Amino acid sequence: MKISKYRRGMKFAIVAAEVLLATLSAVCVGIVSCNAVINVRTNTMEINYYISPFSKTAVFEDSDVFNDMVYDNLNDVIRYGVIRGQLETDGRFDETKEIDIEQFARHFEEVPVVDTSVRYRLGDLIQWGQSGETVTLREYSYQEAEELIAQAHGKDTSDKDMTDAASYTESIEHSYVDDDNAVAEEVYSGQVLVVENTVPTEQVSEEPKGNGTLRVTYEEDAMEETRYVTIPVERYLPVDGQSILAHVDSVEELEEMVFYLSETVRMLEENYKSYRAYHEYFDKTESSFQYYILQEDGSSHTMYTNLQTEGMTREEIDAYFTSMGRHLAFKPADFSYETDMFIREEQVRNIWNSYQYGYSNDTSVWIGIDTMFPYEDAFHSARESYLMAAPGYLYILLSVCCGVGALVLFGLMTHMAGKKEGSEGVALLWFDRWHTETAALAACIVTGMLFFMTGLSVTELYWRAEERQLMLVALALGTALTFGSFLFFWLSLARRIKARIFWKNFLIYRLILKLKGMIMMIYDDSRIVIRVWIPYLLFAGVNMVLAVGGLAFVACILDIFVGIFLYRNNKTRKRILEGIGNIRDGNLDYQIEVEKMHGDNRILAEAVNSIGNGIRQAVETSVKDERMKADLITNVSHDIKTPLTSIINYVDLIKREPVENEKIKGYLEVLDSKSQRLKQLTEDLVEVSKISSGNIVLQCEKLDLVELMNQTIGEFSEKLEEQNLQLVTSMEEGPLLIFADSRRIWRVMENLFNNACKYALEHTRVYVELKELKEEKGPGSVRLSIKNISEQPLRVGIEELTERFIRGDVSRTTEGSGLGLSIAKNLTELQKGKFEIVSDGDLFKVVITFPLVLS
Amino acid sequence: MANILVCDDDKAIVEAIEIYLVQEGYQVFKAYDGVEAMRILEAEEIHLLIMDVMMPRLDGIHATLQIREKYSIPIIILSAKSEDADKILGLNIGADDYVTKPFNPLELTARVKSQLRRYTKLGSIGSAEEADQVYRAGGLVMNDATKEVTVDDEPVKLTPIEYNILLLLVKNQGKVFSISQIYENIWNEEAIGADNTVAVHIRHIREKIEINPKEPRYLKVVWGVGYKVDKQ
Repeated sequence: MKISKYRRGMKFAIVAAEVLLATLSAVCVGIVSCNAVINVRTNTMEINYYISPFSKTAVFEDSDVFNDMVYDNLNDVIRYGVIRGQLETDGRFDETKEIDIEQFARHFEEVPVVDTSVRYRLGDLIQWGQSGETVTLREYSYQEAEELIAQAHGKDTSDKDMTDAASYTESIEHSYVDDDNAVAEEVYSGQVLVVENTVPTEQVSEEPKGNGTLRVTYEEDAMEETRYVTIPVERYLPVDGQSILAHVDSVEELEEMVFYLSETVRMLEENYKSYRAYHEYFDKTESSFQYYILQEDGSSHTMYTNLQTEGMTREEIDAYFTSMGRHLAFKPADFSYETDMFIREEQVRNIWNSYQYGYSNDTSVWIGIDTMFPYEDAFHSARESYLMAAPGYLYILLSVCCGVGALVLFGLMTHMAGKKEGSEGVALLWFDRWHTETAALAACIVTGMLFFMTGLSVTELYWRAEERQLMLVALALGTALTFGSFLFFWLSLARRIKARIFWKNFLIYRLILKLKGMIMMIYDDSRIVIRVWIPYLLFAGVNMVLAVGGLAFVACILDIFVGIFLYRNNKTRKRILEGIGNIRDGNLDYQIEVEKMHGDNRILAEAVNSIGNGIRQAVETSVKDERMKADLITNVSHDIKTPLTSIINYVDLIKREPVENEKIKGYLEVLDSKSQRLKQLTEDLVEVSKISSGNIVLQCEKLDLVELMNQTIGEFSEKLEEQNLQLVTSMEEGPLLIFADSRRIWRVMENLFNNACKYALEHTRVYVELKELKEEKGPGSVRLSIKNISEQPLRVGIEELTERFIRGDVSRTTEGSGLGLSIAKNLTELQKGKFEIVSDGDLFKVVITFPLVLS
Repeated sequence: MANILVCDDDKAIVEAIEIYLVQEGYQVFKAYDGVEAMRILEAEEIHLLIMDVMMPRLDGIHATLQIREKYSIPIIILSAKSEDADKILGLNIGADDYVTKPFNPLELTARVKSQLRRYTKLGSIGSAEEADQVYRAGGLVMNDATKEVTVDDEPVKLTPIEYNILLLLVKNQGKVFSISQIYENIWNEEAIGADNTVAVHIRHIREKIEINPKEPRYLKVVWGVGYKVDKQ
């Protein structure tokens, strides 16, 4: 008991250790991978870098992180240059700068400046962009647009807006919502159109009159027929103060201009945002990242740089940057590219191609990184993070060790699963008795859910640097739970396999087994199925087809034939049954006529015949054997009798001689009695063998049993007296007639009375009772019983007393052959009587019952 | 005295029989098979033949058949075969008596005497005697005038009741009398209930007149029916 408990405790300990090791291993992996991620903030965004512990370079400047950052910075600084070109005049932001919208929007194309250029102030455009997504547009029909253009050309006034609007609004159903921020709704022709006011009111200095949202509802017919033209709500007018409509000659041109305007507004707005961000980042002199973009256009040259020293010659610039930790010089005009970083030329050329439009043909770009990283900037923090991202070899080792330990324990546990100290076989848990499918489903759901939840929470927390500890806790907890549940199911699986119930417990397996059993059952009965069901179905089918097909008459004929067939079949079967009955009743010579039989019936009949023949032969053989045995005994007895005759005779002769010696006289007496006994024995033996082999012929006649008893008693009266036995009789008034062989029945009585004389205790009474047993029907029967007190205890079973050659052991030494009772019984039964021996203590009783016959 | 031929293939038996018969005063001739017996029969004057059945060369049955063609002497078959069929066969082919082995010497000599008496007296049978008063059944003779009973000329002493019973049966030879019938005839009383008195008397008579009471020649028991004396 103690050992068993200890083993159980040990098992628990192993499970706990196993889960602990697995969790530890997972946490180590978690720590390693946490440390491998660094978070880098650049000028515009935050980027997470994964540093594989195996590919980490010794120097930050060789890492992908560094190169990516430099590439990003290079890209941004070149773009910054372009934006500066757009927004600045002489190195300063100039909101009064005039922008030709067509030229700006089509800066990618090499388009000559067209005559009709519409110029806006830069500040206006930026503000226009900031005020909304893009230029707010209104729709007019083509004719209206044409009219508007015509009006704009006709009236040359500068402040036309309001009047224009007033003039054309009359033709359209419309309404202005004066309240800027309100949401208004009005119903026209049952249609509701809600437009939210998207115009911000702040920082718009020149607020156009009539500003607001126009809610317009059109007739549906008009919509289909009219081509609509979008015209901007002119919050700002071009530099010349005239509406944009005044600058175009046709509606097509107007539409083109509107497109240019919205494009320009969108791009400028975007660029302005970048400009502000870049300015903060790239114009700082305290930066590890240093650049110098030199743009030469003939004699004039522009440069963008965050170097403090300006006006250096190309050679000086080259020398300066080459002296820096890392540097890159790109001169597209000279096809010159030089760097000691891992940025390839085509990468840089890709950037250049995107922004080439903003630069002159002869432009050179230098960048350099101060690898001392003296300032607290992006590079500095990135380097710190990078260097901090410890490869964690210790953790890896620990993780591997824990993993190996867990694996070993795992194997051990799998080995131990189901084994229980002090008990044979496989110990199973309640869970192990579930159906395999159910268990597998449970395993998948539980383990899967835990795994999924763990994975989800860990990945969620993984990218958040500040949640690292929480992530590790979640990882540890999740791993412990997931692995624990996995272990539970795995060990259950191991136990199932060990107990050889894995397949057996499959629900499907059981179903298949059941199905198989059913199929086997059908298969076993296949002959019957084929021979009965298929013909029957065929018959029924043909019947149905004929009946449905209107050939009921044919079906009737078919049915009559089938009926005749069935009748004949049953008749044949009846004959076979008669044959079986005959054989059962002992008529073994009976043969069933098989000539006209067919199929199974014939086989059956032949089988019955051969069974009958077999039984007959067996009976004949047995009778023959019994006869041969009887003959043998008879012949042997003859051979015994001849020498026995001499013995008896010469013993007698000696007795006649005068013998003086008393001893010899005694011996002679023994010889005499034993030789007489031998004589009796041989005679009885012959008789027994004859009776049991059925070798005697009975000559039966009507006899009076009362007469017989009187005769018998008369014969034995003296002999009984000699033995001092008192006879007590109780008999019916005769006659009681039975049908028997006179001499044989005498033999029965003689044997029984002799038996009583020989074995009854002296000075006791012998009871003879003859009683008629009346029956309601028929003549009834008569019962004779002879009772005496046995001199010797009866030690053998009652049955054995009548068995041939068996007699009570004790009385074997006394007179008699021991065959008397056997002969009596056999003879009685031959004459249809019942012979019964009852023994109760020393009381020995023979009861014979004969059926009575009518006189 | 008479000459008796004893024929058996067992010499010991032949010699034993010789001793018994010589003691009775007979002259005994010995043969050990059928052929030898035939030869002695032709050579000597033999009055009685005791013959075994199972013998070499010529068996008892065939020998008896041959002997019966020429001689009418009494033949007693002495055989180990004790079946009814054997006895019937032996008696049918001409034997006068049938004794089974092992035999009682006294019985055998008694039978020999009986056979010899009948054989020698055969001529005197039927001589005019007091026919009315004398009843015969084979060797049993009852003279009702003198109340004398003889079996093979040997006188037998019977009690009056025994005499009356035997006389009743001898007078009505072949008829079976039941116990009550005998009782009513002898005692002139109604037989009341079952009684074995008659049976006891019958047994006593048998013991007196029969050589072997178990195989009676005169007073026979028909078991379950009654008693009778066969017609002879």
